[in-house]
Amino acid sequence: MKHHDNIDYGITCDSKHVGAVREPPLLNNRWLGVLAITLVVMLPQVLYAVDAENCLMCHRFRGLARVDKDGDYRLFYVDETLFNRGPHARVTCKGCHADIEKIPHDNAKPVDCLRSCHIEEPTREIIFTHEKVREALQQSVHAPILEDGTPRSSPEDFPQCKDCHDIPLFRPVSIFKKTRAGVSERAVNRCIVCHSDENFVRYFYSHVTTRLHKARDSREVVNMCAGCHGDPSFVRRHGLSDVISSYLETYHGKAILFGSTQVPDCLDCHASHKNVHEMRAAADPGSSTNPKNRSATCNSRDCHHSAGPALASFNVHSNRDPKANPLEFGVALFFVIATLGILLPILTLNVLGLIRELLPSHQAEQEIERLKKIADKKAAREGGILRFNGGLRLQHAFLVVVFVILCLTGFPMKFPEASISPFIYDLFGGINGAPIVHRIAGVALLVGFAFHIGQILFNVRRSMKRKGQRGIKSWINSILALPMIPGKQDLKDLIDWAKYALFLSPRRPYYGHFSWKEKLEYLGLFWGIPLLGITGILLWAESISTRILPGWALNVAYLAHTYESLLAVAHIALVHIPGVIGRPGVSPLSSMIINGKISPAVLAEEHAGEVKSFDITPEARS
Amino acid sequence: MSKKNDRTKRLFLFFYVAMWSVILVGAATWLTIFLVGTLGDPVEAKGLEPTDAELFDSILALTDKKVVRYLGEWEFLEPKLPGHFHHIGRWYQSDKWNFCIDCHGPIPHSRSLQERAFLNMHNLFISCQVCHVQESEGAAPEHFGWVDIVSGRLCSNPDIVEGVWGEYGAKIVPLKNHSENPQPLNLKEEQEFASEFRQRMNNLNDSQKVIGNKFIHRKCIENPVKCSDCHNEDNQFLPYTALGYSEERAAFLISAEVVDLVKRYETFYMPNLLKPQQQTEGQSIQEETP
Repeated sequence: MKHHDNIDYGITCDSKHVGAVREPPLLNNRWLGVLAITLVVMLPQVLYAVDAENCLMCHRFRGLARVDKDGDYRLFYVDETLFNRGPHARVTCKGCHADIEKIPHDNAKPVDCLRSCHIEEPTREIIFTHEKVREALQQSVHAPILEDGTPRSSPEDFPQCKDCHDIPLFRPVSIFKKTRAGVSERAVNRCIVCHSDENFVRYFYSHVTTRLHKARDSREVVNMCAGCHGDPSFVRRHGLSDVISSYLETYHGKAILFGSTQVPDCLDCHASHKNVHEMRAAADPGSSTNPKNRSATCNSRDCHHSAGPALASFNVHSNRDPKANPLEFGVALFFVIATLGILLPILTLNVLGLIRELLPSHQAEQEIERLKKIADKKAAREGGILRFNGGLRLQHAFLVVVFVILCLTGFPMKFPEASISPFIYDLFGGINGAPIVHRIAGVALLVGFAFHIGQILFNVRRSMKRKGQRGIKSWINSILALPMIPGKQDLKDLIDWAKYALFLSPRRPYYGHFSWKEKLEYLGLFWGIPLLGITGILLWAESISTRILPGWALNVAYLAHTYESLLAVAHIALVHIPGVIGRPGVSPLSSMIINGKISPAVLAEEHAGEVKSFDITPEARS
Repeated sequence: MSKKNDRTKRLFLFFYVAMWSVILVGAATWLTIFLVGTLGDPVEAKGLEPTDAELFDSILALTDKKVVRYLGEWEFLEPKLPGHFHHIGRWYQSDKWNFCIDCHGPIPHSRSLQERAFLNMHNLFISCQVCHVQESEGAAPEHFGWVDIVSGRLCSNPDIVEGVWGEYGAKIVPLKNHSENPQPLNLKEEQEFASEFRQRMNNLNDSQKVIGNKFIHRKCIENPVKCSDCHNEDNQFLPYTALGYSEERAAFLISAEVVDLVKRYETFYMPNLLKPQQQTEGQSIQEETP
């Protein structure tokens, strides 16, 4: 939003930047003059309020406030500018505060929003009232008394008007060939050709166009509902579940936190067919979220119209409560155990290994020094020791780029309330762009992964051909013989490493070309990429997936996607990165990913077994 | 040279090991807490908060909460006041220099049930010293000026224009040495004492607290300036035009409209600061009025 928009709507600098130090003015007198004229021209549009009683003589002072004996802060201030920006602008103070008759005011009663006090209803020329809301509320789940007159439990919990509504403000849209927010000056200019009162035109325009879209921003709607439904004591008293937390975990909820206006908030689903005041409980056959009606709600023309009816069985308010949602709990538990079961032992070993690196055994130090000399000679002789060829480096670079993009476009969605998330998302086009980038990157990762598998199979086939082998068994044997497939030696190396890290052995294990860590990391990709790819596609292509799978499959897909992505990122950040960034000998970054050559020092430390294979000269043997 | 290199290498290795050890242990702890926290009913997790904190939040912390109003083409942040219907936009500018605020807060008037909101409203632009302090008994200040509400330094008259309504970034203060070197009324001793008093208050006994309070308030007068002292047609306590008010605004402040309003309130309010019991009984019926 631009600052001059604020000025147009009467918002001053001081109101946005309280206590800010004033800098010397940037505008010269000429521009100030233009600004002053603009303000004067704009001024009439906010002069709607009818203050015949001159209430604002006192109530326009922001300090008109007190703290009563219970500690309640009572503010009697009325912000004229904001008041005049809403549909109540034409209502007098006494229109609502009808019992205030004299000064000093008597003990004022709470305002009754349903009284006939308002302006004339223009379509029927009768006094306007919100009375019909009462009738609608009596049918709804929010009525404190049942239709048969029986009071519900904890009737004091049921909302009064002010619990959901503060004074409404216009949210006009420009519908004159554009749909951006704000009053369309072109439309107003055309209206005033016939309707001479510009104040009325602007008021009427704002009033009508506000109703052409969501009259309240979805974030405000969710916050409003969270006032009760996010309150643990309220939820417990009424035997409900925390629908706010579960909603904010869905794509809808997260998109709303990023400011999307295109996804449904609470009211869009729970009052999709009727007046919001007629909202019913999900168990009520008249409710739009009743299992029988849910398909019509979710698959409506404005929403998932191309999805299958199974979408209706997707549990929007799913949580990981073992009693209420055992399936979701089971899936989540599996991933929590898998993530912690994989990462915690590796991280423990890594921390112990780091400490051991600081306090190496004399034998290990001597051995590394000896092997380093051998590796140095080979490096000097061959101009470096090549570890990864160009093709592998290219694939690695591709994986890095795609992975980073996936993280940057995926993790803000996982943690939308983090302060940095909106900033990162905006780099990729915000809620309307970042999810598309995420999907493109996801497809690219799957294509790259398929290419890599294709390359492996091609090499295996070529090798088999060279050896004259055929048949499934040969294929399996050849694949199992690939250097990245872990074997017995890797298990032995792992045990040796644990012994060394725990100071139980002075000898470091002799890793070959690939260590057990690298093999596990590599094989992890064969679990993670297909899992993330399949679940991502299921969630993305809900119009197809809901035609072949039940709705709960999407709940499972979401859980698998979110937990697996965390495992992948945690593994890369905590296991892979420490070995290649900032590490002594390869600081600041391992050159392997640039030129494919490994430093002799790192080779001697990490792949002693491979260096030993260089150790064939008589000099070295001696 | 080689020894020096070796030492540098060791130091580098130490930092590398220390840095990654801390990161890995911290990350593993966070990950475990986060992942385990995702299991179960979120309401149960919320229920772990102590009830004392909930009560505290409901009384005090809510007044610090802010809410954003999203209106499409513009948005604004405003304090969240539970049950408040009108939008307020923002809090008012708080007084940063006046040490009275440290104890009494920005909404200090609560005793006179009928007038308290009006008196608090005047706090926007009149400092406590104007009505409550005299350098010596009976020596009411005669000259007034404005001080910046942040720095507390004397400043020129602010622009008192319609639309600002009391929020001038400055407050009226009594002046001394008006003819030679006008300066705001000095309460330096009291201010320094009050600062130390606040720091050491928990270690003082009751009689020490009483004595300390008396010293801090030694220049406060029993009968402060009344509304009608300024809002009357004959002799105003504050010189409006000298303080920068326009002739029209000054005339309005002593107009029949305002004077009548003030009289209506003063009829109900007798400033019985020394007889709070009597005052409470007489005014309990007006408790909920502004």
